[in-house]
Amino acid sequence: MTGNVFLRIEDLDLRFYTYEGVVEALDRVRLQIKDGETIGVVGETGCGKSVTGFSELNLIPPPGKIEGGKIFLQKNDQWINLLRQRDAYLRTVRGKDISMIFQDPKSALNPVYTVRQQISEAILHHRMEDLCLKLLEDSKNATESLKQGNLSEHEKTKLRKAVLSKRERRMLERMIDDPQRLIVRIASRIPVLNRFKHRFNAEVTKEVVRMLKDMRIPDPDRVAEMYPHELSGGMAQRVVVAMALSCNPKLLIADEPTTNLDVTVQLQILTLIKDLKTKYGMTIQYITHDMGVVAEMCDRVAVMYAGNVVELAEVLEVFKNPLHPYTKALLECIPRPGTQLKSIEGFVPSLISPPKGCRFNDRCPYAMEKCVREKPEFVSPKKGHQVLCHLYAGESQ
Amino acid sequence: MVGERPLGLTFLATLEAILSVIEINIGILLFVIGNPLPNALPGLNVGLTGTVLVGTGILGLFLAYYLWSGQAFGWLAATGLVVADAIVRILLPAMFGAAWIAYAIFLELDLAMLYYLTRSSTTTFFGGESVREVIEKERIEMQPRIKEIKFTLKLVRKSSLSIIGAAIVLFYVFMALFAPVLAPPGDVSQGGDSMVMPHQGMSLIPVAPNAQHPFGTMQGQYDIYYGCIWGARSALRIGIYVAGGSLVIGLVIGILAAYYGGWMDEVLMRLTDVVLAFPGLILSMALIVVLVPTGVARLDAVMISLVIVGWPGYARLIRGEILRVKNEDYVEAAKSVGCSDLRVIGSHILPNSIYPVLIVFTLDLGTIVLAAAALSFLGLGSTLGYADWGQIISLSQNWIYANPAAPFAYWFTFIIPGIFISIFVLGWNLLGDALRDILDPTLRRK
Amino acid sequence: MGLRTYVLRRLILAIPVLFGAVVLIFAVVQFLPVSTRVSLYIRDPKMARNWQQVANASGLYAPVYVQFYEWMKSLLIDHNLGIDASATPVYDAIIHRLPATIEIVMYASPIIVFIGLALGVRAGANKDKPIDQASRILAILGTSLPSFWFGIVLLSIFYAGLGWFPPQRYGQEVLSYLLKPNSPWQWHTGLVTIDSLINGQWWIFLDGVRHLVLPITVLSLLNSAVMVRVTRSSMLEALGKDYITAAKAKGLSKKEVVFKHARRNALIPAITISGLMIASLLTGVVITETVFNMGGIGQYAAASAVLLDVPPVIGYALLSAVVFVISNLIVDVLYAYIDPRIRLG
Repeated sequence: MTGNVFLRIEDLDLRFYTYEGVVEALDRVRLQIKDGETIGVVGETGCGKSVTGFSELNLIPPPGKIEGGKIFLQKNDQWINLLRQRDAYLRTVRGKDISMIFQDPKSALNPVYTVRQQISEAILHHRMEDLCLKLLEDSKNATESLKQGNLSEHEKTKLRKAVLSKRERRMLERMIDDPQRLIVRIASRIPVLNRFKHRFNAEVTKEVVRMLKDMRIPDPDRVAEMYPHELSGGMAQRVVVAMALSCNPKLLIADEPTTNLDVTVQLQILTLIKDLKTKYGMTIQYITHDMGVVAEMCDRVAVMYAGNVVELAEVLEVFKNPLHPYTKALLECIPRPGTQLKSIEGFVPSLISPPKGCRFNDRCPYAMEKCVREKPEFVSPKKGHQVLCHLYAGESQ
Repeated sequence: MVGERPLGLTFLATLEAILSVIEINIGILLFVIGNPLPNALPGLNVGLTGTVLVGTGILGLFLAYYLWSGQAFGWLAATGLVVADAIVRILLPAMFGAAWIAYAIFLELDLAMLYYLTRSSTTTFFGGESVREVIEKERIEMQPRIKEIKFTLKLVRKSSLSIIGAAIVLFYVFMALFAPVLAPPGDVSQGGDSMVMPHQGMSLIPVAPNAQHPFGTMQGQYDIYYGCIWGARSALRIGIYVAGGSLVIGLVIGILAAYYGGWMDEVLMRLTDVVLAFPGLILSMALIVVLVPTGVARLDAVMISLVIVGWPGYARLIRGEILRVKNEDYVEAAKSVGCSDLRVIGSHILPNSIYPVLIVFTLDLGTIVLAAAALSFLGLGSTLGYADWGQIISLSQNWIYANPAAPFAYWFTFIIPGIFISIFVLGWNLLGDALRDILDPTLRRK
Repeated sequence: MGLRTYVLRRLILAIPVLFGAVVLIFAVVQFLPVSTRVSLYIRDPKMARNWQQVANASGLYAPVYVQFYEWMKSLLIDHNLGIDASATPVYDAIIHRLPATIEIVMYASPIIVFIGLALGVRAGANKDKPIDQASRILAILGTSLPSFWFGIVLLSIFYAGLGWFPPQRYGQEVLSYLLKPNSPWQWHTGLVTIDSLINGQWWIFLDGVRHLVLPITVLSLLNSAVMVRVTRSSMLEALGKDYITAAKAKGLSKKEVVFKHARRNALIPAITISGLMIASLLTGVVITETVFNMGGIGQYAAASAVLLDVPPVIGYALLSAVVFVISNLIVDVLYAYIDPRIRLG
């Protein structure tokens, strides 16, 4: 957890080509994510916070198309532009380096597969090698320990279980080499020869149960064999989190994970995520529309409006000293007992023909003539505090 | 216009409804008893007259409904309906030379209403506003609907398959309408029925296409060209009667079941299940075998049996849709703002549940013709010589491999009518598919 | 609800439907005069001569419910379906012709299911690409072409023209071999393809296959069109779901996503269609057997219908209803088994 930036989104442009016209969903979006932080992305519905997350995984469904910009991920000391990679490479990133959890946990799970099957899918995809090596390692250690003697019968039985036959070891080695090898696939299906596969699957199941336990799910062995429709909302979301974390990703994108849950469950999940972050050492990108959650969970926050990132700073700074007019208005709208409810006048502009200048200009109380004509640039009036507004033009530090 | 009902409008609407109901009843009566005045009006084409009367009666009822409810759609649709009404009443009878004198009476009343509606800009019947002002207000209210319709038309134009489907269907409709022109009945040997194909000579061997018989003749010297052209008429007739009949019966039963629920629903649904326990064609075969000996004409037996086999499909469909829509949030929302039951059913439930039925109806117009053709092919359809595509193909069976030396010598006996059927059904299928893509609200906007 | 309860419930619902179907047939038959109806009660040609007697004995002049009872008795206990116009007991005639029909249906069904599912899944997964266009063309052809016409066209090309695939079940030589007085041939199942292998007569097997190609093609092609259409649309629906995006976010390849996740969900509605496939097959054999003169029960029913011969048609209708209801029941159970949401309640 170094605190160094490892993901950079630069000038991201996203358009959706629909029957009604071209929707300019994201306009020169800029974001940097630091290792070990929790960064919130907050905004109203339709501001583009979710699609930003999807863009990082390059999972924008048609008719959407990323039209410009770069998304850099630092991997093995190299900066790689994720938008320029082939799908085969991106698949090694998804689930392994960057993972995502979703808003509706029940629909994020496939109803015809058990929990175990779905979580092991992720594990099998990215950690097959690790687990095979682990099995081989365990076998070696067990054989060593057995040789030494001085063990009770009980311990001996346990160790014998971990020992693999030569044939099994060889198959596992082949699996590490290339899991799709014909001989591996054939042997997996033949009753006696596939004992190595059973061992492997047992190991994977162990991993799954361990993950479920980490998610504080009671009776994880039983839950693993359940189907999604048998789970409650909170339980399902824990399963989804387990699925996302099963390969220990560096970045977890959480797309409004608690919006569909009861308030009490919400708190549980938030606490869980916080604890997991410390335990697993991940970075979290928390997408939400709830400023309260942002205050609770995040170190830094990016405020989005109509497809732009309008302000980016540390949470305390944003709450104490909001710079962008939209952020200011947003904070004023938070209901406080004893004061009248406030709202922001006007409507979010249509993104099919967005305004030429600043997209907030028709609702901004500080709007100048320049705001209608020209798009604002990012400036940093204070260190670590970026804002997209003409009011602060020329104040960069 | 909700809540205000100008006096003159109510009067007009009531008059229109009464006239329409009279028309529908006369139409149904004609179907049942046949030509009531064979001496006075010998050429009265009963079936057609009945159909036109029922059809225009239904149009009239729609008109009355809009006039009564004073919906936003009301005025412009009302005038549109009157115009369509008038066109149908003029064109069809004129085409078929039926006794359209009777229609003139009903037509006059409708035209009078049209005149009254559009002309009176000075009367203050309508709560102080003239008709012109009301029309203007309605046009503004209708903007979103017009936009939707324009969008629908755009979708229609974009989808080339739907255009092809529509073109095919129109082609056949014109072929059926203008059959007397395209293939004149001329010297009909069988007293008056132009549906029977003319045949000169009794030679059993089919004759290849030549100048006199453009598509050749089939066994028994029936002119294939004549058969194909007039076959379009019998195909459309069978399709409309059977699909229409199944639709009406199915809708009634389905709506009853969905509306009353409880034991009525159970009973009606068990009835549907029982009929659906049989594969369609087989049950209709059994019905035909029973109906024909008891004196029902062959072709009528085919139609009746297909209707009996067809209605459960519609009943189930509309019932399912109504039940689904009833539980949707917008129905509760409508009820909670105080909409009357009738309005909830008319404005919310019916429009949303009717789409699949329309789609199935369109597809059925093709499928039923296929089924009837199959029955004709098996020998259960029309009598020999009747202009029916299935029959022509049936008679061609003997000639497929009759001549080993020239195996395709008699290709025209089955290839040509087969193409006619296939393209006919293809047209309706394409249209139905396009309708499905266009009307399904979730698929419209992508 | 649990699987067992579900199956029980379905079973309980199916029985009244079956009963209702029988009642319906009975009601329909009542429209006929007694002289015709009595043929349903006659068991052998001898009885045909004194049909009045039979009519009295079977209670045909008695009130309706007595008639129904008598008919059910004769149907279920005596296996009496009446006699046809050629004075053959219908029951025997059907048994005799059953193998021909079964042979066609048993080869056509797996082809239909296989093509339907395989093509449908791939078409749905590759929307608007060539394979999808091809599947749509197949679907449109399948629902627009009259099956009898298709059969005739194929016959004219492949039999009259090329001479490859003849109609009927047996060629001339095979027929004479089978009917020879001291033929070593033994019928086991009644199916040409199976029995020829059992008898070790390869040439008969090939002959049988040759005769089966066209009928099976006609039956399969047109029915698989529906299957393709349904599978394709349920595939498209499955692919639009959230768990597909979640799976992609896990790093799965497109192939895995389609075949592991989407397909299983798409198959569920597709399987319910197989129930209707049976109905379509029962209908299809009527036409196909007639076109190709295969001598099965479908052709029997059709030929009888033309002659207005009632018992075979009624017999076939009853048989179809029973088969249809039972196969729907099986499909329902299968559906419940496959979908864990229903299996586990």
